[in-house]
Amino acid sequence: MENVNLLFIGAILSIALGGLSLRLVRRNDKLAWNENIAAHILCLMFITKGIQNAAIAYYTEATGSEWQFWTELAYTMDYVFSASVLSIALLYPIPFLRNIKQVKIGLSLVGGLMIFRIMLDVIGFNFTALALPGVVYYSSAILWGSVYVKFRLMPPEKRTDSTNNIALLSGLFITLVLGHVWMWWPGLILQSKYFFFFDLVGGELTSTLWDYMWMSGYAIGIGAGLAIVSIEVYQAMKGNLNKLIYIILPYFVLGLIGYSIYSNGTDSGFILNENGGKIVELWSVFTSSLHFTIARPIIAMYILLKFGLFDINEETKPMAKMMSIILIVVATSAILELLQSVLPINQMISAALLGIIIAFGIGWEEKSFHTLVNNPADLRSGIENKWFPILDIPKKHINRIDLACLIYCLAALLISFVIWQMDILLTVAIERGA
Amino acid sequence: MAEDNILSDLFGESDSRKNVTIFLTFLVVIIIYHATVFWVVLQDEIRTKFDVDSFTIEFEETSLFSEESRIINNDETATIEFIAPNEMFDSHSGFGMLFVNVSYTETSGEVGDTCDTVSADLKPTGATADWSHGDNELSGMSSDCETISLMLYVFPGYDGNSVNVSGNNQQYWMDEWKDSTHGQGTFNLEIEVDVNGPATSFVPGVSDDNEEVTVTWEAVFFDTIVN
Repeated sequence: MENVNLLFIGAILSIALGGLSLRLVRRNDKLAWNENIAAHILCLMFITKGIQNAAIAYYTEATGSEWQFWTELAYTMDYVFSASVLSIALLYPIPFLRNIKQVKIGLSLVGGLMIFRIMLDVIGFNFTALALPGVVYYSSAILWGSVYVKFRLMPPEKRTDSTNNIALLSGLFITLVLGHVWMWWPGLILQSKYFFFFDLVGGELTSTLWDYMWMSGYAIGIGAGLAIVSIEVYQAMKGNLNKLIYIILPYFVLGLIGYSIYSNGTDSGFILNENGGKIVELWSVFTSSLHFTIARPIIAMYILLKFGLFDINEETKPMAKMMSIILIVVATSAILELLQSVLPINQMISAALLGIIIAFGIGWEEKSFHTLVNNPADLRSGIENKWFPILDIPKKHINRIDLACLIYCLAALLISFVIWQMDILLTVAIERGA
Repeated sequence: MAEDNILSDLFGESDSRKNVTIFLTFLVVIIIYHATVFWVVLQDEIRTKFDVDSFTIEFEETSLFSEESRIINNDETATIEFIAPNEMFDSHSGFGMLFVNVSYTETSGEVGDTCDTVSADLKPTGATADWSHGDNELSGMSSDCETISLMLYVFPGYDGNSVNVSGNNQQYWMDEWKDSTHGQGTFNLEIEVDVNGPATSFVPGVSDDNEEVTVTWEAVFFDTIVN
């Protein structure tokens, strides 16, 4: 139940922040072409992720055949998430696509994969290996991971704040996508059932090959995470500390604690069985679900503010501040509600606590917002120009990404409705003995 | 053209080439490790992870007998109570069934005196049991000195026969068939005697005003064995 509530909260948070961020990004005329595209896609990613969270929550509560509608809607939105991650990784912070031809081919392939996956769903090839499950984790680990390693391990004479910032930004994106996977890293190393038995869709609906492809995405994500945490510890010992270590280390520490909890349960990863233990459910809610619904929007917000994707001026400042406050208030109250479901705190005390924490949070927000906005992280100073090719892509063309996404979402709603009415998912489930 | 190829920049300098290559090699090693565990080491377990285990649940029964005799006057209704001892609940998985036998004979000793009419009624009050079970025998009557046999299913689902189930694990089914709340409380048996007087009852000094009734309680407790 806590999980469903958290999904709804995450949905509200993601859609609100994504929508407001998109308005601010559209007003920013100072962004380079790759930053502009990445910022648009990042905002759209969170709007669609919010829709996905809500769809999953409604699916969990479904009592009739409408589960097919919510399942398909969740997956079509997840296709946007995958495509968004892949696109951003190809463009930001360092563009892998360096000329117009490469951009056209690269983004067309990403968009094509998204459409291809939907087509597979419509013709009854749902959850097959053809849809390349896990590709989102491969792209994150390889693209952002390579950029991270390249810039984090620069020779000292070439190291600048910008190289550190590029490494930090790559690390943040990897954390955003793979953070929940990092909390199962001992399961991979120690060959635990809770990791290797993980089944995202459940039962016989997916083939063993599908499960393998998805899980290999988790494995490569954990590999990238272990490499990053090792590099960060090594660099910190050499005196070259980066704040990324404070963000990623907790995920790996939680992984160690989670190992003992998951090993005693019957659940796999964040997939909870009906007969699973309460402690496993609570752990999953306080780790994986919290990452999906709260940590991801916080990381995205930090990226947007810290790396200058918003042009904060007198006109846009109130909206940016409002976003920060929404984030603080909703996230704080959600976490406190979750705590209240575990600890027997009196409601009056928890209400007072909520007030105090939010007061402190908003006070802290005043200070941290000021610091963030006035000290944006620069990615380009002292970096060779070859890393940032200049392409002339008109802003109006980039703004069309928003329209394309809106059309996609409407089409996804229609397709989900058709799949529900034609019982396509139900038929597939019966055929596969799920 | 070289500037359009990011790989030449990522792998161009020797330091960077070494670092990125080590990183990518590490990822490949992890993928190979994962594939080996998935397809070789845990292959059988992964393939059968959705196979459902089947279990046979059997019951070892222990009966507790209790007997009580009482003389009941004509047209009188007597209530006889039975409470299962706590130690039986503690030492067994559950209280499965309750059998009640009500027996009597014609004890007046008068010539031509036929059997009295005795009725017994197990009231669905006082104790927790599966009172609505369709096969319960909660009341009976006898006019020919035949024993009245009553039967009550106490533990829901229990009938003494073994059960085949699938899914979950052994401990789960052990827990499912262990519950000491069923059968707790007082069972109340109401017995009414309607005396059939002897043919010589008009003779002074000859009468039949009551009957001695013997009630035997058999409480069947069980221990669960899951195979």
